[in-house]
Amino acid sequence: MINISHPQSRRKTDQIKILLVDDLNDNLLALEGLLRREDTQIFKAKSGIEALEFMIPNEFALALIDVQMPGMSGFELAELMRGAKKTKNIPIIFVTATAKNQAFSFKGYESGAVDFLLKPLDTHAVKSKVNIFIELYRQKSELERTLNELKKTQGELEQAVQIRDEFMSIASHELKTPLTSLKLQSQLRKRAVLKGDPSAFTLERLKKMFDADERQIQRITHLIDDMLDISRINSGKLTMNVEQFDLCEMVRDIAERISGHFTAAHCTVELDNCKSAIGNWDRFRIEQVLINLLTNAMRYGAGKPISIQVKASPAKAQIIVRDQGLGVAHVDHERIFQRFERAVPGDEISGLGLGLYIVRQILEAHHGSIRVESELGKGAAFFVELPVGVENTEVHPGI
Amino acid sequence: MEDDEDIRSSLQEFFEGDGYPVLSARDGQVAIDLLALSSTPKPGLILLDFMMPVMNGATFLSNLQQKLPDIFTSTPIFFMTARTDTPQLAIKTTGVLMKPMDLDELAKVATRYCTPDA
Repeated sequence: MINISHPQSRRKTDQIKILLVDDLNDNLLALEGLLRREDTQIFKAKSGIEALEFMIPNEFALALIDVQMPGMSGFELAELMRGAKKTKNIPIIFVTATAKNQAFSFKGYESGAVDFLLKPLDTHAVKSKVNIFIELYRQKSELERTLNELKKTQGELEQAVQIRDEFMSIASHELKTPLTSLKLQSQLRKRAVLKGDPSAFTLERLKKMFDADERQIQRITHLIDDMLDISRINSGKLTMNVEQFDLCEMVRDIAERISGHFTAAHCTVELDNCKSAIGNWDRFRIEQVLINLLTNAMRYGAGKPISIQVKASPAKAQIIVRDQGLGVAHVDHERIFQRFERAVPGDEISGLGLGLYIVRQILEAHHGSIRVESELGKGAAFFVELPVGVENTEVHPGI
Repeated sequence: MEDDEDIRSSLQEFFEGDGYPVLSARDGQVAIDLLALSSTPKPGLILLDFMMPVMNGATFLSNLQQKLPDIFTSTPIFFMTARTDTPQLAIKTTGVLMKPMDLDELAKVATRYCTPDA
């Protein structure tokens, strides 16, 4: 087998492959000389068998086949090519010394792209015919590429729609839980009123009712905020309003503010001796990060003590939130920061599965990071790192 | 059975107000443990949340069928769920109550299957 390619000024994969089949070496060389182009790679086969061997690993834009060859004739080769999926669409130009009508005896070649060249060859005719086939092949490849890109985009869009549908389903389900509570309470009160039962509305019971209502309203607000955040993140519109503040002060403030929740979850929070960690961050967003991490620690912390540490260095601040609860298996250390994921199966703990995803997006918008250190059953420690100064910026997550 | 404390206590308040004794549990495991006690009276009706930590509603049903088959076969069981896309939930149960539930609907279910204490 001879496989001579032209000097490589293009990448081999960009070159268009042409197969020449002729039993006479002189004919092969003459044709090769005629068809030599920078963008083509020419394969020369001296028999039908050799030609078929070339066709296995290569994709040809065109085969120029001599009709009269000892052993397998050009037509016989074309018959074989017609029988195989890989070769049946290769356009063929038969090269023949006899009258053109003989060439028509070969019928039914599937590509329909069969043409003829009569010997002696007219160099101009050969070149222009071959050029047409090369151009056709190029256009076909281009179309295929475009089609593949479109298919890929279509797949991505379908997946995005599916994710959105799932999200809508989860979100509406989640919203119905606080709604159920509010509806039951409201109907209970109405019944009590209709019964004329004043004992249902003692000051103490009213206070309980308002507390419960407030909890549910907070839950709904929180869910809607998360949904809005995710939509902002997806469209790259999570804006940061940076100002200078002390992280330690914020941690103390939040711990104080949500201490009621800790009591309700039967766990305590230890604040490490944090003096000051001043930096330029978005106050509202960092608060969101802290509340999220603390809520997770409460939720998965099995009622055991939670600790928060803040460490400051000239360039960055580090926050560590540690619980002693369920823990996160090593395989899940990255997964929990993905959208709609959580450490436990979806039908056991409610929520949108967005918390840590949003947290990471917020931190990355601050050029910071978050990671978890944990083993299953041995609690979890979330490490947040925040560089002290960033300009006003927007989140552009890579989706 | 309901993991949301507010929903659970509202339901309890409602049924007790109508004279039905109520046993409540925050997840399937607690409920199984409770039902397995010999001192626990046989329930006339089971209302079951689907999403619960520790043991969810579906797992509770399988466990009940295995461990307490007489309760499983003789007790009407209603799922309480906000999911609209899981009709298979109904297979092992008497029915499904869609969240947010309506007290009138709950009252109807209760009167159909239970008799309030005097």
